[in-house]
Amino acid sequence: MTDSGNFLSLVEKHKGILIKVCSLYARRQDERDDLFQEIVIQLWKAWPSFEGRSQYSTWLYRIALNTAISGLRKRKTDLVYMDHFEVPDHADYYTDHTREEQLQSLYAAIHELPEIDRAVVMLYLEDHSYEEMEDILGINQGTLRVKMNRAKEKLKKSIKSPLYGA
Amino acid sequence: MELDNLKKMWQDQEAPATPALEQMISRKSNGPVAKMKRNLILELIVVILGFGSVIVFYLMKFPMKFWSVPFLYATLMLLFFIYFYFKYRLLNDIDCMTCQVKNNLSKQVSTLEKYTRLYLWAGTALVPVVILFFFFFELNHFPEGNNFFTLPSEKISVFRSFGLLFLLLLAFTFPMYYANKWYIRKLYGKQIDKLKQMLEQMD
Repeated sequence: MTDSGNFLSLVEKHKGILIKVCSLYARRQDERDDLFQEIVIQLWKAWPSFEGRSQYSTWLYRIALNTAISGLRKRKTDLVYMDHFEVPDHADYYTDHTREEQLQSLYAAIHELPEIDRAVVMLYLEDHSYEEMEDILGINQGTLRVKMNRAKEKLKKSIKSPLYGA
Repeated sequence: MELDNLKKMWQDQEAPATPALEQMISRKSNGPVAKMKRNLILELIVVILGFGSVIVFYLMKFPMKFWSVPFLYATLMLLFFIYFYFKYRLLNDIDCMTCQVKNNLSKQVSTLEKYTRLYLWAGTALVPVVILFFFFFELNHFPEGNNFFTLPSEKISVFRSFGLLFLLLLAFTFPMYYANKWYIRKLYGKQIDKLKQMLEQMD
């Protein structure tokens, strides 16, 4: 397989992560598409320097989050409060209506968190250890635990979901 | 913990179809740094074309008379090249996408601050350079008493000429400094504030 072939198959395999990052840092579908494209471009630019010293997922998360966070000014809608939250398209894939609503509610609640907390919560939901989170974000584990506890409290208040106990 | 109840649902999300990835990797980046680089290259082209045209015009129209005009423009062009080189180097160094998010943010803030300082001082320094040029240009090319710095029918002392020069420098440089400061703040202020705010969130 060619170098670009290897790259594309790896991105294809992990694109779910990229889509989640885009959904957390951009509200509108067009902004999410732009961000997705930008992340893929940045991954491709960094691909020659990926030497396998870090795990592929760590490398991918770092680039995806760095691209999403540093491009925030461009996505002006993210800086102001919006009543209307456009649900990511992939929520439509769920035939179970309640499940879709829960997911919608979760996304909307995470969007209310500060930018860095969104990344922490996402990594938590993806089942990463605090050590891995530290490796990706550069925040020490003590601070991460405090942030996570605070985020959980905030999410608890804002999510209206039977699963969440609201 | 309640959030844990949502973990499985979060992880089970199905990724929707995306446009062809092959096409995406052949496109140009549209990120803020890539845009800044493209704007800088555009500015460089404008400087080369604009200043180059003036140099060619003066050399052809007044081959010997106003030699200092093309000289000024050539000097300014050289200064612009140096300025663009430093700006471009800072832009190349502004982020580290494969670094930890905190390190990357910190690098962006410090580089962007250096970038804006360079922008501010270079933009402000341009004013005294141009005024000084016109001062010496007039003294060299126009007879005494027939130029802006030495008013007609007056026996102008050197002190008076330099006093006028000094006043002009003050009158234009200071407002330019504040105008530049305002403009740079308008261009990059929000971005720097936002990056700093996120960096604070990490401590």
